[in-house]
Amino acid sequence: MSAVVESDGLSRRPPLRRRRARRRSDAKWAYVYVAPAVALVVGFIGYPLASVIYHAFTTWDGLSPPVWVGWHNFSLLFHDPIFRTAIRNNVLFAISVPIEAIGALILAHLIHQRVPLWRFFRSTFFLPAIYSTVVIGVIISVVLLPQGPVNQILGHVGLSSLRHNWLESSGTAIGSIILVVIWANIGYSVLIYLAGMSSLDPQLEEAARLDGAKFWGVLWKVHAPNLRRVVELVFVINTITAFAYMLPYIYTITQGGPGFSTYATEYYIYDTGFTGQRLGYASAIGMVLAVIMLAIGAIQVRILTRGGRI
Amino acid sequence: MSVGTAPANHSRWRGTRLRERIPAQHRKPSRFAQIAGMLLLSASAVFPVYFMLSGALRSQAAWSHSQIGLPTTTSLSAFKAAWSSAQIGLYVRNSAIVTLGTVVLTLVVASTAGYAFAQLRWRGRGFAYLFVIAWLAVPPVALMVPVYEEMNSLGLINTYWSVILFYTAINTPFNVYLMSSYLRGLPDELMEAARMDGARVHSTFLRVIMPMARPAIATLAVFNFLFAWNEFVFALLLLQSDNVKTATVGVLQLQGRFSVNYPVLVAGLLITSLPVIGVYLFFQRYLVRAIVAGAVR
Amino acid sequence: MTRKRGLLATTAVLAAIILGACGSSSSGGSQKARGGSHTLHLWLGGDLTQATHGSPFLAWVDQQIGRFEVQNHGWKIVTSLLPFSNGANAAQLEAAFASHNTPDLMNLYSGQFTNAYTKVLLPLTSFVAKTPGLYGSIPESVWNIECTKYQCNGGKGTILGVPWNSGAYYLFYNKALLAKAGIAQPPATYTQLFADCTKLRAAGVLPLSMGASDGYDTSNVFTSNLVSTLGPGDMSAILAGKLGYDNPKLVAALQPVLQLTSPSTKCTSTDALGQDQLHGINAFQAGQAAMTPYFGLQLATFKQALGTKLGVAPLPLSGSGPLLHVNNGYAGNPFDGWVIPKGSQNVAMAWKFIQIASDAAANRTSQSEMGLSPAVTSVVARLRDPLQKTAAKLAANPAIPELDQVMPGTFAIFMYKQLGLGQEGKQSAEQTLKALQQYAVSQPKQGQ
Repeated sequence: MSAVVESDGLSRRPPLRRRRARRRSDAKWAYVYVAPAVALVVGFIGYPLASVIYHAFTTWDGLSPPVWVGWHNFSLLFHDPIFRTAIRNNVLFAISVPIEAIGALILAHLIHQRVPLWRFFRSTFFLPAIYSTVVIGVIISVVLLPQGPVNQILGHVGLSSLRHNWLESSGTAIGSIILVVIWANIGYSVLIYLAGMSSLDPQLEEAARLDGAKFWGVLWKVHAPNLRRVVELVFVINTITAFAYMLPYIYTITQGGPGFSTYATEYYIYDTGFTGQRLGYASAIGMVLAVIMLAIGAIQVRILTRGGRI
Repeated sequence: MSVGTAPANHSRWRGTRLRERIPAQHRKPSRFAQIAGMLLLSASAVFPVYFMLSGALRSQAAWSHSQIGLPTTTSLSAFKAAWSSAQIGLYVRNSAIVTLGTVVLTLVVASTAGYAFAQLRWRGRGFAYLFVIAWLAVPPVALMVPVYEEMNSLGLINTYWSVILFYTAINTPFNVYLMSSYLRGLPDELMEAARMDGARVHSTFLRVIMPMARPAIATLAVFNFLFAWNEFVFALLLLQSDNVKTATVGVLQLQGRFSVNYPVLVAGLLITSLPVIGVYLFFQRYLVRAIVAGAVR
Repeated sequence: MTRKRGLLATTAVLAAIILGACGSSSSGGSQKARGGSHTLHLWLGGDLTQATHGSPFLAWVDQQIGRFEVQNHGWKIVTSLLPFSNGANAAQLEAAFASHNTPDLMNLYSGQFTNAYTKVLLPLTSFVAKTPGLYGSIPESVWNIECTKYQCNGGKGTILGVPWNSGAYYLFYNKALLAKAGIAQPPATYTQLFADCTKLRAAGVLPLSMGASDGYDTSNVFTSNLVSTLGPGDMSAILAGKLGYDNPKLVAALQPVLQLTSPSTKCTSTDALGQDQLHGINAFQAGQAAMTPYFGLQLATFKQALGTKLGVAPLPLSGSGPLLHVNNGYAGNPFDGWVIPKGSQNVAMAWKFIQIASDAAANRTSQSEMGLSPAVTSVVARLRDPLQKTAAKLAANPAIPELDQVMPGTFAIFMYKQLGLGQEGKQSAEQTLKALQQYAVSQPKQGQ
């Protein structure tokens, strides 16, 4: 540390010897600075995860000691039709990610263009992210009732033919959940895009306009390519949501019904583990989900660290 | 140019000069359709508040007839019933403690780690960084039982610390990522200049880095505020006694298994939502600016 | 500048609240910190999950706690509400049992819960035996669900819980709307019901309102109908795995139930398919539908909405099996019971509270205040209100338990989903029960 203090001020960088000295003292403190983060992830994610991995190879009802069964749970899982439905639904949720990412990009672009009322739009679009999932769930399950507001309104505007038991047919139930999730999270994505757009050089846009680019032209030729990293970030955040944060929506809107048609992997873990008291099997599902997430995570870690210095 | 490495320019995004000069014909296509679409989305975003308010002001009979429409009563009895039977005041206070505790702890953990990863040079830094953010891949729901057992053996069940620690931990990978990548975007010259002035590791952190990191801090504050306030599953599991229950869990006690008084339930939901909506509206200008300035650095 | 000051102020507020949090969380007290203090910890599950402040349920609990505290000086009871939803409830219990963090006593859903937690609940047989008059005060058919294998054998079986109420599923009807179609009596058989549906439709009245989306209504109506198709001993054979869930007697009981929502019978509107059990009663409560199947819990609310037009009757039955002549010839069982976890630190005091909560004085108000039929026989006999009397008698001495309460919990949850699909007309009664049977044989044995 003293090496830096003694610097003569002539060179913009301290001499090599002194920089090394600084690194050593940095190193000592660096461990202290990362310690809380490392302790938390090891203590409250790593340790419980190790327990989950162990129990994935057991049958366990949570009451008596677990019994080691090797790969049995995984071979059951392989033939489990509900698990297949759950994975299929996760994939469906993931397919909705591009829809949200592109929709949000267009909305952000509009706000960035300062359409009339843009301030109002900017603040209201974020509102759904504020409501707790409990509020959203209760409201959606009432709004989509057969005699509920959505069908009432469709009746009033002369579209009675579109009235539907929204949550009771497998197609519209899963579609309804996807729409709700997009609606609830689109505000985040819009804000992130706006952030990216505002850090772009305005001259890029101006140049494109001089070349005759209009609304879509500016969006696709200027914003989309220059915001690649931001678009990737939005994809990553929403993909994580699609695989690991769907439980509250399913729990409050359909409870997995009709039948098992809206089960997602996460909901299935909850259902088998707690309602069904099969913690070993639930742990195995958890492990499979973690592996899937790890694969997505590997891609995403590559994206997040690309361009950085680490 | 790459957004990730662009230096911060806090004044640029505020400028409106360019957009105001956009000729009218460039604002196509079909301005009317755009505005109508956006208005529809805005209306749907505001709808829950209207729904809860009008629902709470309907009698139960009027409710079972139709769930939306104009209020049928001016009586605040649904609010009173929700307030007294769900003890919402107490639960909102508990939520506030949990949320603010989580936010503060998160900011400390993420900014110290972010600083070490982005600005300090040390052996094993790359590996440690991957080690911390790799946990992004763990689905929280899988951890329910082991986390409960762990909190129980630490004697933390029914204490605010149980959820504060877990919420902070589960979001640490993302928070650290966000903070490090923001701090990495700060110009090196700043650090060097601080060094020249004789600042040490700590004072650089407190006097140079933290003030610069305000946009990222605000972003993290919002993300984690909303997460902690709205989290349901772990709050249900770890905070069981009445004096520590959070609002999202407590208000659902109004939803009986075989009978439910919807006007009272939505009144309760509205009361529990008001603090967050209020915080958002009050801090909105600052938060939006901060996110806009900092989210993607 | 204002921004800076705002930040400072926010930070100060945060700091103050965090300090406050530390202070109150340490005084919040965990379940463990109870040594020495005379406190009994009671968890309220089952119907008592509705014991929120200002509710009749909490008023009832407080009343019993008051009686207990007067009799046992220096003792206090601290209650915690369990969540109402099956999954969340089970999650909390499972976490508690897995980490030995259980209270001194609990009120839980009977049947699948006492069944699932057999290993961790204290057998109460000797306590019951030592309490004069307790076993005899409640019909054995009500006790049975609280014992292992659902057989209490005159008090000699392993008793795991004390029934808090008795329960059944009923047909509520609107006398005025039935009269409009010239119907004097509620239907007793499905043939009559389907005929009544046609008459009511002709009179412009919606015959039946129900909710099919979660399968709960279907399950209750179906399991109630089993009393008319099963023979003696069939129930035990099903539970022992000797009689398949897809056997013809079960199929026969389910068939007419699935027809309720089919367009051919015109009994329900299409709304029935898109709403859950809870919303299924809306049209009836609003005076638009002539009948609805539901629990007695809603009796007071219905009466408030419909006044003297309200009637209550047994659900229609399709068969004429021998069980109709056993006990009261109806299906039912206690919804909830009092249990003591093995980890209880104050077993003797917990038992004292159970005695108080199960006596005639405690049972007296359960029907009128909470809509729960009393378990104690002498209280049933003394009810005055005709609706309450009918409801209580149908629940009091059942011929068989409701199947979904006694089958393994996972099977029941699978069954609800399949019944939901069946009620929608996506599969026949036979296919529905075949799916359940296939699921049942594919599962590892409970308690393995």
